[in-house]
Amino acid sequence: MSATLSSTLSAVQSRRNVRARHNLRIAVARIALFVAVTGLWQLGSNLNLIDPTVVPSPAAIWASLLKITLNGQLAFHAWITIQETIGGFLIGAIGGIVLGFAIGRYPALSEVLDPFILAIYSVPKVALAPLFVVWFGIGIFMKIVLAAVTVLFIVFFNTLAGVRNVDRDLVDAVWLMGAKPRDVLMKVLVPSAMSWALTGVRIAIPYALIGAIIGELIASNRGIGYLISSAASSYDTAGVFAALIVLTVMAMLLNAIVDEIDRRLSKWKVDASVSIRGT
Amino acid sequence: MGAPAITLQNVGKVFVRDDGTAVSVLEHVSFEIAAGSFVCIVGRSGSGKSTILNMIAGLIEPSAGTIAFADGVTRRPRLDIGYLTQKETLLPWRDVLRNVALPLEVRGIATAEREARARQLIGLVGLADAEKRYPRELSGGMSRRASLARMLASDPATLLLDEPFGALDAQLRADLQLELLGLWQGSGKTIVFVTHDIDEALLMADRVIALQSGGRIAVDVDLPPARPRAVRDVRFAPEFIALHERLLDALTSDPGARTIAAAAAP
Repeated sequence: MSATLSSTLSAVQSRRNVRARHNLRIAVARIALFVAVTGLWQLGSNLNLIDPTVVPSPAAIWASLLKITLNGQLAFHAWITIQETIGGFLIGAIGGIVLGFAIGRYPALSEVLDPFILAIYSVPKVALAPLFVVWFGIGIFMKIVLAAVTVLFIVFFNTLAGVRNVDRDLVDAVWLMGAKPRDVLMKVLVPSAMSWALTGVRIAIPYALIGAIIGELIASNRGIGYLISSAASSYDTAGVFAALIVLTVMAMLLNAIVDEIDRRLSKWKVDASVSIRGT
Repeated sequence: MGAPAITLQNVGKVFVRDDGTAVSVLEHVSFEIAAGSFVCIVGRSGSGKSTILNMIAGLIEPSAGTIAFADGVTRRPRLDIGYLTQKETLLPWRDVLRNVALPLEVRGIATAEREARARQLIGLVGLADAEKRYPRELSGGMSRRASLARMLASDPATLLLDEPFGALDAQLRADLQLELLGLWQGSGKTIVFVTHDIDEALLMADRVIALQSGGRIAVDVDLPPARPRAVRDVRFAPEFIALHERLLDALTSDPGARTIAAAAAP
């Protein structure tokens, strides 16, 4: 008995060891790949095989990154972009959920509005940016609006689909328990639609950043997007790459947040997905 | 057996399809269900047996005839009915405890009281360790147990079950059949249990009604009252073999089954 137990335990232990060793190997391979590519790149730059105005050397990018970190530019511009992203995301997500519930509750209304909503949804939001510049200027507010509009439609469509796709059998089951219409609304319709809405929210998070960056690229004097375009306009490619690295880190952080939300929702989430038809 | 708890009189149901054509599912169905009895309705798909349950529950109205309860109350839904469908209808965003407590929650029972009652039922169906789990974290058998507990939460006098164990594997089905019998015996509850499985009906019911398409009652028979029944008796005792043959004949000789099935096909 105890021999069986200990052999089971050692089997579990050895399986764990195998996995740990596997993970370590993958990590080493990743670092090796990074070092090799960066090393070759640096070597190529040193030997003048790569034109530094096209692709700067890793050392130059690092120096540029260090410079904007130390002189406070990075923190300043990143904070602007973060504010735009979060502001646009919050306004768009809340607006999308409220609109989705409001319109979804009246099937006739949503049927009338369908083609118009689809028309507005189909417009690439980037194309609205110049108009927003005229309306709102080149300040932070214009980027928030652009991000919000992008987010709003994704969340709105998911919420609307959620309100429309409530499982009839769940409604019946709760009605049979003697639930009042208000209970059916609060205990079935809203939570069911919310799981769809949250799927939309989850999808929309990266789009908030995209909206903010596009707004900055088009017209601005601050933010990571501005950092990229101003460096590019003075042929400071090292500066462009440095800003891109900052942007990559921000996007990866957002994706980590999305993954965490996914992990928490997966316990009870109703399978919900709406195809996202471009932005 | 006691006085009739539910009386169906000349009940008919006509469904109107999307293309506007009318399909008559049930015609002139009349029978009584005695209070405290366990009645099984067997029939092939399309025989209208689920429609009968839906009408008793109050989900749909009969197109003709009446369904009356002993107390004369006509308000729907009746609060003394528990309904368990084949499809799982636990709310995915609530854990087992809050799902089981839901019927009490919508009746305005205080949290502490309804959760105590729900815990008791969850223990009764053997899910005590799973009360914090969400439906998608439950196996098929566990979901059924949670649904059973939820149905019993408001202590309904009448239980309607529509092929409740149809999707389970044979062993699990046998376990849950025995558990349901255990929960029912001595409770005084009236059960109407729909199934297409003759063995299931013979194992559990006081009375079996075989329904042919259109709601024609081909067989209506009381089973030997001795309980508990062993599975082997139901399979091999001569009287049960004879009953099985009678019911099987009724279902296989159903003249309308083929046309109904063809008409119902999309």
